[in-house]
Amino acid sequence: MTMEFMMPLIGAAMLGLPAILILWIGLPMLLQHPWSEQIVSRSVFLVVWLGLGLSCLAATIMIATGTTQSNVSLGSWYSIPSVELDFKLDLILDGLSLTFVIMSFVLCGTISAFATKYLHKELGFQRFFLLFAMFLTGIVMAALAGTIELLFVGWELVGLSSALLVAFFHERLGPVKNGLRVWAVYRVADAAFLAAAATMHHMVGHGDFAALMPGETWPNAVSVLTQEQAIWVGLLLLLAAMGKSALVPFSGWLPRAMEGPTPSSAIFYGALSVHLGAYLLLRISPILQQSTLVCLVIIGVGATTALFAAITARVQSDIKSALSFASLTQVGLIVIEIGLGWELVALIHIVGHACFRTLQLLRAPTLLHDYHTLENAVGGHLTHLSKHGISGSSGSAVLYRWGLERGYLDFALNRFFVNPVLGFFRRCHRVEQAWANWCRSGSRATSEGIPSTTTSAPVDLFEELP
Amino acid sequence: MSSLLLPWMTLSILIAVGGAISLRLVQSPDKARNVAVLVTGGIFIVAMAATIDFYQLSQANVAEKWGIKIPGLVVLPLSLDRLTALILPFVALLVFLTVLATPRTKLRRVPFSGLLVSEAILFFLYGSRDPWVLITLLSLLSLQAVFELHNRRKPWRNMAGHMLAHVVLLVMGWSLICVSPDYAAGFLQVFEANSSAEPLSSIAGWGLSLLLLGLLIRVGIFPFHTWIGELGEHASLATTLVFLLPMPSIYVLVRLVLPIAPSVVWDISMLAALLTAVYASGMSLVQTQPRRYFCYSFLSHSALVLAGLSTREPISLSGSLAVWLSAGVSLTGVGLSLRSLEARMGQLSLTRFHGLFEQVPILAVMFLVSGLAAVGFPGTIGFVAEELLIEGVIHARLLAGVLLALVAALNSIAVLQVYFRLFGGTQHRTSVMLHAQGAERWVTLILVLLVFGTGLFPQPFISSRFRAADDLLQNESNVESQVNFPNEHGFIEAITEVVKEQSETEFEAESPAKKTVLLTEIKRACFVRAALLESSFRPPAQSAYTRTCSRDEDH
Repeated sequence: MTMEFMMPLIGAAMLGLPAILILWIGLPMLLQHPWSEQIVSRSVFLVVWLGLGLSCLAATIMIATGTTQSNVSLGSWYSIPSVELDFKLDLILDGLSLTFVIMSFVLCGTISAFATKYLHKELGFQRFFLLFAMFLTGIVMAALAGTIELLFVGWELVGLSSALLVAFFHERLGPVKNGLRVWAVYRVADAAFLAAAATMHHMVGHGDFAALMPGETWPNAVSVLTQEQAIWVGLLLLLAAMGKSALVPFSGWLPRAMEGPTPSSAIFYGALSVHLGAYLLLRISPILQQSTLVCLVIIGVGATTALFAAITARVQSDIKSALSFASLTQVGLIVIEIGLGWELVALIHIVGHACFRTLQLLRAPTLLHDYHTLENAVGGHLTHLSKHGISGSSGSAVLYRWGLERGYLDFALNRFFVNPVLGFFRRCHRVEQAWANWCRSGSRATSEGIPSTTTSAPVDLFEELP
Repeated sequence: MSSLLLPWMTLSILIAVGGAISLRLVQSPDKARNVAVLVTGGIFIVAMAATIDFYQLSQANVAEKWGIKIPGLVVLPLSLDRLTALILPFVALLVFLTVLATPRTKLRRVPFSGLLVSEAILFFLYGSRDPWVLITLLSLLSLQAVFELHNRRKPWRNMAGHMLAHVVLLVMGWSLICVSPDYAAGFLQVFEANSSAEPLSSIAGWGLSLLLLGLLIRVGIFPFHTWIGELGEHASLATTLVFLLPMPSIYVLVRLVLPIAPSVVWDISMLAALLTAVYASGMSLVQTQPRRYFCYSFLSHSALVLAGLSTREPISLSGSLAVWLSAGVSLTGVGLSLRSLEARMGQLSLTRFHGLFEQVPILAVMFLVSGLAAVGFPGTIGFVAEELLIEGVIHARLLAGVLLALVAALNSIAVLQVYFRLFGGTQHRTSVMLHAQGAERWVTLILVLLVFGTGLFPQPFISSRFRAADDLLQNESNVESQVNFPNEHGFIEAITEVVKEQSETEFEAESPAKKTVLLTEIKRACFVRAALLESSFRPPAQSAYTRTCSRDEDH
């Protein structure tokens, strides 16, 4: 079989298998006859291993044939030929996408095996794996996408599944509030992404990566956008990446995301989700390199994030938060590497860091258990080798407090963005209620059955938890 | 123009009216519900048949053979075109699902008879082209909702004031257009003003402004939107759904304003739509009642539809027509899930968490899937619609497109916020079983399949919306549908008048491309001129001119 025949099949299967998994798990749930835990876990296992095998096969074929990039077209999702509008289902199989996909399948496989045991007999077992399948579909789609529209679809799937997984224990207040916070940040980032995609269409008429960055293969391709166009598109996509990868000033959601079950924290915020923003920047790096200004901004954002996360990680009092900020430090460094144009270094950094951090996060719950076992065995508290604390100087105290408050980033976002916006609409709400009450007072209607909306407390969407 | 196999729309209207009358005679709420389910189910089947019949004929505009006869007055022909061919089944489905999913606790409060009357009026409205008929039917719908509020002894003055202003402005606006001295040539001037983007100064211009204002009040454009919240809060949710979701005012706007309004009108309309979309999406974040959240969410989406219409650009107009239906279907799911929750819990507040997921997971799924579809989540019906809309608007106006993306983001935050407040945050403990009933499960299944089916395989939906948009832009089906020539002689008179105005020598001197543009303008002007000259209406036969035009186009 020729490569032209094989690659579309492999690409379609890599993308289609996780999508079928969503239907396979979701449809019986909708009909209120969910599969048993065993069937669900075996289905996930099968899909992940098949996906991994196919992605390795694609990589092997490409290495064997000396191909560095293969553009695969799976047709159109929809099109309007008369206005040259076409949502193409194009995939790019190259060093970047296949590396990311193989890494995704390996980590998803590891964590699904872990989660099968970890969530055994949990009420939301099937729901977890439904969201897991959605996440897997999203991450594979985003990685393989050959057009910015398809990448956006994958990006959104990752966003929703992540937010719902943070709120997995939805009967508790904390996870729900934090899930909403994560979703809010993601959606602002998604708006930037959508605007970037549409702007790209407006400027060049399409969003195909192969046509936008023709000639050499990634990372040596050259963008067809002008410098001015690259600035607009680059900055909008950087904003999208900042939201997804929790770069400063959007870093506040990362420790909140740890409210989800440990497997989801490991897979999404330790390994894959947090790197998706960096992946986006890598994919469009030829466009970014077109503008020095954009590169400088990227380096600045990356450096700020790395510095902030390094300080904050040192003063966290729980292991998952410490790990999340440690993870963020590395993401900041990866972003710096992208800004400097060291794409291959950044890709290797992503793979190494994702694998290492997954191991750490999966180990975190049992580490405490092991400590307790050890302490029981020795009959007392273990002596800590190092102590975190204030060394005495006022500068250290300020820095310590700053780190403990996570750089006041959440406070700043609330103070300067969320509260003014919500405050404005709440005032409008009160004005409308006053108008409605004025109209009511003139009418003959009785007050019976009229809810007292004026006495209701306003919704505190982003209020801090007690 | 061809005819449909059967007079489907007339049949639907007759079934609805017959059903409404028979429901008046039924005393038992259970029986009334069963009759209503049968009647609305029958209407849905007839509406689907009409749509299938229409698409099999492969024409832009198809009339019925009969039409509604008003004894001693006129025959009002009903017709389907690409715009309405999908709206009618949607309206029928909306009413059917609303009736089907009615919980037992709500049986005494839901006005089944009124719903069927509304459905009959909506079918009549979407099948009509005559301006006065459209205005009358829209006014009837508006007044019907006011009367329901009044009958329920709920606050009605705010709504009544807005609806009265809406009706008066519509009547005044269209009357001014009709009585203006330049009645015959009025629209021609409007067209010219349209092309040169000059402000209107004639009486027709004032009439157009009043007409637009009247319609914008009914759409709920800021600051004339407060009645929507009142309606949602105090009317039955079934009435709210049927009154709001089909967006009949947008339809009248498309029929009466789109063909004749100059650019400046659309600039104002775009500004108003953007302002309303941002305002409503922001307000949906701070609502303390699910019903009011629903209303603001609807308002935001109807403003998005208006924004897409205002660009008059093929992609955004297609997106706008697609959002019209996608938001309608999606918000039906949101509304019905809220109604089912209220049937179990009474009026809910968003100031606290209710934790209902474990009790009613099916309703949680319906709410979440419908809500995400409404905000354009990938794989749902709303995604392609919003994608087209935003892309088209960005093509036309970059900043407006970016604002629409922001609106989509705010709406999606509001959806998940309400979802978490209703279904999460705590665990609802009760000794009474709250789980979904059979009918509610069926409704959920139908909506979820519709939302994902159309979202995953959107090509037929998008193609149909694009063709409808194309028709509207070319103005052929739109204007032609308003033109009813008593005979071919009248048409020839009209065309002669218009052609006289074009100097033959000047015409011959033009380039081929310019000639084509001029011919299109002449054709458009002819239709309008003839429409205004003729006062009696009859279903048109294919004229010699139309045949020539279509032959030329084929050639």
